[in-house]
Amino acid sequence: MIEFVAHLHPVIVHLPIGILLFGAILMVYQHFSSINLKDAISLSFLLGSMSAIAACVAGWLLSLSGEYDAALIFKHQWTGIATAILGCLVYLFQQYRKLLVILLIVLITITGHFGATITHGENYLFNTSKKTSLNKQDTIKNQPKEITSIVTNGKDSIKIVKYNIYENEIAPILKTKCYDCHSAVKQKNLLRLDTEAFIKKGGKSGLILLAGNILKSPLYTNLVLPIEDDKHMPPKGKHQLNSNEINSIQQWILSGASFNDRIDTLSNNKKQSAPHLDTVFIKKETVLNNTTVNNKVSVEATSTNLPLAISSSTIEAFKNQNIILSNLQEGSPFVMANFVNVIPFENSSLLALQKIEKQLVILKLSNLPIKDADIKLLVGLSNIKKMNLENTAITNECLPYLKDLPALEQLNLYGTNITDEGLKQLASFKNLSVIYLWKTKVTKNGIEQFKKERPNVTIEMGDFKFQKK
Amino acid sequence: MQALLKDKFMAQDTNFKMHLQELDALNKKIERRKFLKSTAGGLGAMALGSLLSSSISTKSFEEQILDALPTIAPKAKRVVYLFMSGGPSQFETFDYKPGLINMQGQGLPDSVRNGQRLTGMSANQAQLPIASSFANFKQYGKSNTWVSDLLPYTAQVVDELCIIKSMYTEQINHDPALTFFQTGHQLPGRPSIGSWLSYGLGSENKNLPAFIVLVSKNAARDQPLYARLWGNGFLPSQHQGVQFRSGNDPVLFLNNPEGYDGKDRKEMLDYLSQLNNLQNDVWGDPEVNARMSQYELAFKMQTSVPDVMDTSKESEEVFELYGPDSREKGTFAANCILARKLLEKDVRFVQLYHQGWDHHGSLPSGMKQQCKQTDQASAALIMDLKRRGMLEDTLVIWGGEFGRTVYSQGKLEKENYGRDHHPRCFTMWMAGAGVKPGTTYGQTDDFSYNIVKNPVHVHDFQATLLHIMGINHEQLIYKYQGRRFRLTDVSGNVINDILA
Repeated sequence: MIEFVAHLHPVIVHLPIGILLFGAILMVYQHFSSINLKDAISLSFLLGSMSAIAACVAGWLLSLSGEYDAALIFKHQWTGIATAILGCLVYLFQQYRKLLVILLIVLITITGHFGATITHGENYLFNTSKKTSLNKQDTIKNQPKEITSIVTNGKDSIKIVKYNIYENEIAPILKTKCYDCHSAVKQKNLLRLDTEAFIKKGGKSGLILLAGNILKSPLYTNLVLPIEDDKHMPPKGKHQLNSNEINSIQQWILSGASFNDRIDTLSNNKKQSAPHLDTVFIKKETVLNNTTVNNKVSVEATSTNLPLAISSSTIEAFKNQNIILSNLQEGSPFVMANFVNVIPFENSSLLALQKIEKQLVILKLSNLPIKDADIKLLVGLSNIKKMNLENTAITNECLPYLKDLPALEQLNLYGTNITDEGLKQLASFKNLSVIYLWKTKVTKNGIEQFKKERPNVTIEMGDFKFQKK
Repeated sequence: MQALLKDKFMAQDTNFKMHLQELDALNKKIERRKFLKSTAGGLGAMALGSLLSSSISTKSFEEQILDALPTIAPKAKRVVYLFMSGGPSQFETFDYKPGLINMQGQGLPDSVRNGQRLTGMSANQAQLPIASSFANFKQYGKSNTWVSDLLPYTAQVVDELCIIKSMYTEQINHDPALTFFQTGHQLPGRPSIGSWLSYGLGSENKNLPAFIVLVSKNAARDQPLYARLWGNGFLPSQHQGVQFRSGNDPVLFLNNPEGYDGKDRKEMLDYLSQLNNLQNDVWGDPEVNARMSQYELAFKMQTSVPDVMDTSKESEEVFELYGPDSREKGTFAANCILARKLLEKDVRFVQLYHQGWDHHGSLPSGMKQQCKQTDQASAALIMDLKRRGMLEDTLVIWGGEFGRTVYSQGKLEKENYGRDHHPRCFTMWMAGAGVKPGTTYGQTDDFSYNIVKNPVHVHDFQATLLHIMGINHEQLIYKYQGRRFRLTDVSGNVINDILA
């Protein structure tokens, strides 16, 4: 409740400004016309003062959050209180009203200015250039670069420059997109992002950066949450990061989130182009606007290391095809897909998996009429670790396709027509560690051969029998 | 002029009354949260939205909780819980106390009992004579675990088990103890574990309920079971456990009446759901939704249930594995086969109840009978799941609601004695996903009366079970009558030492 009232402060403040000024305007009007507006003027100042007091209370509550610059708050708070008191005096002492009103207007202006400084940042008044349109390329060009050596091959000369990713790439992004609320002026969630020490310190909810691990770095994860999520940053309605910027932060964290390291980059003298993250980390990405950022987060996995989380709309789309996608864990982009409800089974439903080729790690196709040719549709599922193909119609023929799944660790093939020949092929699956082969045509002999090549792979033959008692 | 004004006023008045009715209707229809949400949207137009959005989320409390699941990487996707109702004796199963033979017939030392309350059944006994186990124990498996010779089959799979010898509960009588185990509270009215899982994780197979209960037909019905043990409590009623019976009609009233065509049925249900939708629009009672989803599921179950309950296609070898009982429908062994079939269909939580473990008297003959009925099938279930590759994501649980006393209730004879209820320690085992195989956890004193090492409370057990399913037990919450309820009430710790 307190928080709610506090949040009303930016709304309430406009009441005293408007009402008190209206009172002043009425006084001017009365001065030039013969109409008696005394009552109306008094009422204006009474209401104006009351609303000023209300604004003071709400503002005081808001300041308790501690998210704002203390020095600015101090100025704004006392000028605000002075305004409220002066408003009351204007109402009470009619004989000095004219003089007091002039003072009041001055005070309102000053108070308002301090308030606006808190909200919009310093220099907002005379800074005409739109900070949000600040181009990343521009900032980079402005950064001083340390040229370490120049290589020439006769025609072109190439400069090798020392390039600091944090200074040149990350800080400008934070400056344009985050400093509004997380810097000296304002510290939402008690978080500042304007220096290395502050970034490392984190905010009210804890650390925001774990070098090398983007999933444990809210500095990254909050960017890629769906825009409706409360934790999504920047908040809905504020200027969002584009995909290049998100990628930059991701790559920076993955590469160790160093604040000081400088790396050598090539700068082609001929073109005079500034070094760009794209030349440091090889990737191509189009700049997306606000609305497509969300889609991007959901569907396309662009990172080389960790895919992005699947959006709820994608999960819904799979649900409509009766394929259940379930998250392996909160915050993890990886999912498992279960086809238990796909009745009757049609192999076209396997095509949908391409949409989540990076995220899919467990695939359950048990007890379905899957044929060898269907397995071909699974090529490209680069992170799949576990696959259930038990009681399907597959044979040895499908194994070459399965071999193209580089991450495959566990394969359930019980109740299929796999033979010793197939087992021989399985020996060349690099990451395989568990195979289920009960009720297949694999023989003991075949397993012995296999064990010679792959002694560490666990094979479940289902040959357990009770000793009768 | 006057008349005109009056007319206008009247019109306004009726208008007003009409609006009141609408408001009233709206009141019934819209939950408070939804109302807040919609008004927040309206205010948003007045530039207030951004301010409010931080304090009022667009998602309901429950939605937010469910969205975050699973919070932990789940080890198990499914659970099968073999509930041994009545309180199996730990002395004749897993908790080997060889020292008791030398004290046979002596009174239980007061230093052990320590003034603990006894049930009314043995509290007035002149003496509490120590009864050693009539069954012999041997060590089995690579883990060298002591198992009684009443459990020859379980003994052969002991390297798959994680045996907890230090379970304890707060309840000393059957119904409250059972209710405590299943719902986290001794009084009826809270949701059962399976309902919590259904609510938290939902159903994988949309043609079968997420929570299915099978009760053994061949058990001695010494203590009653009530359907509320698998009830949904205050959770929406689609989360309640569905009991599958043995025989031709596994789910009562599921089949079409004779002479009634399946197509007619579908048409009737479609119309019914239209009517229910109208009701839902007027009243917005979540139970209307629950009823609709139950009708829908029941219709799907008309085909899925006969299919899954049909064991005629099981091979001879399977019946051999589960033991001779398994050929007879409704027995514990047959239910174990059904449980495996249901788990194969990705049913989230299957619970088997086997009554008859309440041996106040004639314990030796009773235990022999009970073990014979359950031993082989329980062990077979583990191995059957294992060879199908299902044990790695299925958790198997075996246990009762409490243990039994070291002293004999009534007259003590070598081959005939009884044991009273004992909540202070008892044995359970788990196997499969998420637990360390071939281990024993916890330790009781020489009388298996008190726990000396690593006690596991019922809430700890529940917290661990949820953890293995990927849920932080403190986060699975349902708000009801102004309180936030959990399965583990206000306590419970995950037993990390048994987690694989």
